Amino acid sequence: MKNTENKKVYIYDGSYQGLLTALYQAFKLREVPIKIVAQAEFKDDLFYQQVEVKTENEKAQFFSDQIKEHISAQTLNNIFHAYLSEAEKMELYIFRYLFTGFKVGKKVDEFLTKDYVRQVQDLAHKVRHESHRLKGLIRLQEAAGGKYYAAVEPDYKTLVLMAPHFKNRFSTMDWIIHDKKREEAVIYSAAEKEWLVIDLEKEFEPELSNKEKDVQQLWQAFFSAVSIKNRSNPRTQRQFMPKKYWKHLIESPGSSRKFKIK
Amino acid sequence: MELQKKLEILSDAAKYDVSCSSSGSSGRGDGSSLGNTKAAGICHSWTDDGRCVSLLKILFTNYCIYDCHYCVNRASNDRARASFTPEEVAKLTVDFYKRNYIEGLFLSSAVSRDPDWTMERLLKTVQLLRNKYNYQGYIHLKAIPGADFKLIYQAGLLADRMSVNIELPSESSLEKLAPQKKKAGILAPMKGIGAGIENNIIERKKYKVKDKFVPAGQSTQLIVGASPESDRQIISLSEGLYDHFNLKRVYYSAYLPVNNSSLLPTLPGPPLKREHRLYQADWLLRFYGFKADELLTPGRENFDLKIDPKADWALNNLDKFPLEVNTADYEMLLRVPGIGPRSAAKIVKARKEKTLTHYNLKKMRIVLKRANFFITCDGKYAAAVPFESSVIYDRLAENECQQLSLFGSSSGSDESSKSWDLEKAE
Ligand code: SF4
Repeated sequence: MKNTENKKVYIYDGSYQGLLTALYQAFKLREVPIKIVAQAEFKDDLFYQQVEVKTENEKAQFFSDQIKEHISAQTLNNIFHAYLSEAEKMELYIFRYLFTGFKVGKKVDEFLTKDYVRQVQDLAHKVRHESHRLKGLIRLQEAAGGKYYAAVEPDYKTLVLMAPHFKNRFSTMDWIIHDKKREEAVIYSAAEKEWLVIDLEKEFEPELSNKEKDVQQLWQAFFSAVSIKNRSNPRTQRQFMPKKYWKHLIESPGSSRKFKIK
Repeated sequence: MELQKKLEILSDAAKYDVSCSSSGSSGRGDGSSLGNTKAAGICHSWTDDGRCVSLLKILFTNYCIYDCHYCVNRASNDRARASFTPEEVAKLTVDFYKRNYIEGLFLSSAVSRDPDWTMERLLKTVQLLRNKYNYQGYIHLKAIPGADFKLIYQAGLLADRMSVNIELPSESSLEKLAPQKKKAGILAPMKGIGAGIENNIIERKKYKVKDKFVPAGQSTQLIVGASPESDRQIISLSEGLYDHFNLKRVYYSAYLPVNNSSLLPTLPGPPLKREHRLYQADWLLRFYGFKADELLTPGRENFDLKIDPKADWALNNLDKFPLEVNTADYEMLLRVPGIGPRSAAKIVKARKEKTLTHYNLKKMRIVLKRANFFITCDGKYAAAVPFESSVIYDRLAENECQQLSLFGSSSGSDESSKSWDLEKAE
């Protein structure tokens, strides 16, 4: 693969399928794009040639199968999770990671001295970590009408990673998990037994059921009762449950310390 | 009494019980009912003292007819008392579970009225949960010593895990500090549950019986430091429990002085360090092929608090070291301080291709900090100190001291960080 004179910027629609299509195209045409960016992130760039990639699900699927077959399922997982990080330059790291991957096969994940291999792995790890953490920290509230609602503001685009877990666990309930940062939500219907991602504006807030506040109060009472008062350890508490997630919790961490007599 | 008040009293009374683990999946959850059990336990919150909140851990009641000396709920203690109804507990569990506050319920109880009466209430609660509310989340239930085993067995068909707390490591201490709990009343249900689990596994295989009996296993708890038993007695007891009663876990709980009783020792604080050593030794029994009488022998009754039990064993068996990593068998590699099952397996695999040097081990990401004192690679010994018991002892103790100071300065150790270093203790 040679670097051509006129350097290209690939622009995709921001979806995962879109990214796979763009990657497919680069490999197919043996091009090394100078950048791969989502439409929404793209700022006009006079120096480079712009290539708009039209998302094609068939190509995306084909390429995804190729990665699985010629590199590994693990690699495919890594790039999907790294994609969810929405981090800057993530697309190029993925591109170079795959470039090496197609040469050396599944061993690519051992090439830890390569910056881009580490970057992809680290991003993927961060995304998985947040998703795991939020499986515990998400708080559902009962809305009037019996559906359940949770608001979250995750660092990464983790809704799709969490959805299968909540589907298994709350399969007999109707629920919505709302990513307020990205203005989207996973919505699950018990009747259909299926979930899907929809757009949902930031301001959306359902009316709560009559008994919801009572249950929340019981949870708060439980939470402060189980803290051992004279063994306060805010460091560990924050290490596992960072402050940025406290806003949407029902309990109030640290509240037992306020009454501590020194 | 208001429900919230009850919840405050009965969760406060339960919080010192350490066996909060919700590990072990029972594979419940079929899509037509509420909930499932996850193999890897999920923490839903962290308390202000830094412990993981995973289960709704409560007592059914703290009215107790018994008067165990070490217990806050003993009959002669003057304290706030409350009792739930089975419906209240079931409702609370489901309400919390549906909001993703918890992984499940951990229900224990004092002995109110008599053991059968109490056990019936606990059974009723799990029946409501499983049958009325169609709840398939995790349930850990205490079996009440002295209750009719039929009640315990029925409850076991609905719970994921059951436990009977032995509390005191010997009959004489039990006689002294918990005179009303007869040893038979504790060991009999444990034995019954253990046998029930074993039969159930066979029946499920052979006859395709669907009912699962205590699928996530049984556990127990021992209080450390309230009575005079040595570490040697305690780990021998644990070994017996694992071998004969099919126990999944034994939990150790450093005695926290809660009552003034002339029969109880006065301690400067709960013996957390000792508790930690017991957990490490327990780990060695379950996963490293050690026997209790190798770790401690008559005359050497307690673990060294400065170095871990594995290092302690190695230094007492220095004639078996240094070990040549290129020829030693897997079982012996596992006994080298600092080498765990993963490292041992890596070594066995890698040495088929070539003779391993220290450099190779490092490249394989095997941490040699502690192992170095006990191994040779292709005949070479690479620790920078002479191969002498006292010298190595000092180094290891120093090492451990540094490691401990890395953990939070605010409080000694807490359950969550403790169980973390356990996973890593090699
Ligand atoms: S039976 Fe249990 S609750 Fe009652 S005093 Fe003894 S240890 Fe405490």
